[in-house]
Amino acid sequence: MPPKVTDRELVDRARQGDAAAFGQLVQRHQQRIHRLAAHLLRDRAEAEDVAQETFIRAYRALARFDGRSEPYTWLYRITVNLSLNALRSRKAQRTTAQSDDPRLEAIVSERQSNAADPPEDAARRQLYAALAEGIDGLSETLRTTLILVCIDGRSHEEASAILGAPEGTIAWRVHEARRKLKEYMAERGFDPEEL
Amino acid sequence: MSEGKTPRTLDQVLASWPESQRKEIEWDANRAPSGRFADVTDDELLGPPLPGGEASGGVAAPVSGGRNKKESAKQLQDVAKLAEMKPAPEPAKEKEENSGVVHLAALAASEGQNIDGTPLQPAAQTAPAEKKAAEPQSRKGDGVGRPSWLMVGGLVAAAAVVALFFGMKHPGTEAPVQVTVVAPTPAAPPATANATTGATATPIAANKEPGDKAVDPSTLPPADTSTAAGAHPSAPMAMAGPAAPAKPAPAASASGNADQPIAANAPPPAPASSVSLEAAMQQAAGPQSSLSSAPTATATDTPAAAPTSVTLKPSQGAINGALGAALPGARACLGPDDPISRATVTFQSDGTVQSVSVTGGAAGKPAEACIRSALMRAKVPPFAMPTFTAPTTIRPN
Repeated sequence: MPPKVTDRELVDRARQGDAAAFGQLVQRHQQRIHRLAAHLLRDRAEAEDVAQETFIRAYRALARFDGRSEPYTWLYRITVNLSLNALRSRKAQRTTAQSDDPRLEAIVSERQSNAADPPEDAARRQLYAALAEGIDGLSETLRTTLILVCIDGRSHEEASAILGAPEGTIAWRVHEARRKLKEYMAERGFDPEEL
Repeated sequence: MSEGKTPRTLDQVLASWPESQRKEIEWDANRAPSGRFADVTDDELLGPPLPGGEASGGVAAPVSGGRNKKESAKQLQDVAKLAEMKPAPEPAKEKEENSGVVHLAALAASEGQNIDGTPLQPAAQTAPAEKKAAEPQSRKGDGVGRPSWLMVGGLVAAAAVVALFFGMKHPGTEAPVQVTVVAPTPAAPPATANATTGATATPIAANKEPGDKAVDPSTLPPADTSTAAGAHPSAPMAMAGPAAPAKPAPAASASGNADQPIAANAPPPAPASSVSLEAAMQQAAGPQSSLSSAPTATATDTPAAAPTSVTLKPSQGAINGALGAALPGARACLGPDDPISRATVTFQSDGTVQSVSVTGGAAGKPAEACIRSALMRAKVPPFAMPTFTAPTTIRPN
């Protein structure tokens, strides 16, 4: 296996003018960045805008990357900031139809391609649709933290670095978000013990 | 976890949220960066996205961050200030009426030392010094009025402070304590005025310990200033300025008291401590006669009760913490372009990992063993169930 080039090395090279190195960084993280933005924004086009803007702004601000955190933490923070900015600047609360919800599109495509177990498919889709609604009902703070930790799989330490909040606060937010989400799911008829 | 089946727990469901793989071409498509973000400065972008430590949604944030601690310390100081400032500055006569401390001291001075005339001077000096030192005490006597208590009750959410609050509901017990301790002061007329003030200050300081354990929010701020030192140098304790050098003890005891609520607030996700705290509160509130022993019991029982309880299964926080610590090692096993892998970690009741099963991209490859060994290092606190299984997703760095 060829030696791995770390993100930091790529950033260092990009700072020295190696645009290809930055391109490699983009390739590495674009999926995750887009996924995060999609979960935060619930809008495919906006998520793409934010993802693209994230890398542009990161490239412009390369000189300001102090290396104290991981580059992806830095990218995540920019994404979260841009996403929250976009959310706040929305004129009114947008309601997204399930078919347009980028968070559910994978389930839709899975259903189309894999019709082996239609009842299981339908249950799965209902579950995720309800979860998406429940997550939408959370406050911005709880929602952002839940997405980072529970959906994106970031550790409390990483989420703490991304959001600039102490780990204890992150743990509390996750706990609170899960509690509220469970309540919501129970109201929707999903077994709270199962969840 | 199988890809097609509906996962069981909330965490499993969230962690395995279906992800649509986007094609490269969609990224390179001619979507120009929109000008809508033009007004977002770099400073805004690189700063913390959310107000740190604050939770929206109308729910109080935990007091775990430094900023929160400072804020709550400041709140406590404000409360204490208000509590102290409640009674207007009174002339000496009123003080004599209100406070047994000053009255008795004055009596002792007039009766016992009038004969010589010489001790009268120290006694006269003692009186103002005492007044100053006793001000918080006499105010405390007055300040036991409802508004200040309501303020304390409303603002101090920490349960330990509530325990203090219960203890403070017995002003009747304060007076005798004050009398007995302060009475000796005039009876010991030292040589110099300084010594006299020192002597008066010391008993009052000593007086604070038994009474104030359960008594006064005004003792809290100095304790908090120990954490946020110098933030409020003119905090309520400064009122007792002359006596201050002679009494490190009350400050120490106050810090013990004041830190408790903050510490009790600090780990909100741990329910065990809050349960024991409730028990301690009931204990403190129940036998109301044992005023002085109640707070100490609270202090000692809280840590003692916690370790004895073993939870049925590990808490989500413990699992997240354990896996979060092991995940960087597991992620390092994957190459940057490797696909995502999922692992199911089975903990046994002593908290160590019993087994790890890896699915996804790394399965059947050398990375699997690497991931397994990384995740085997995870450890949670012991729990009652025989085993507990937690899923996790391993994404490349």
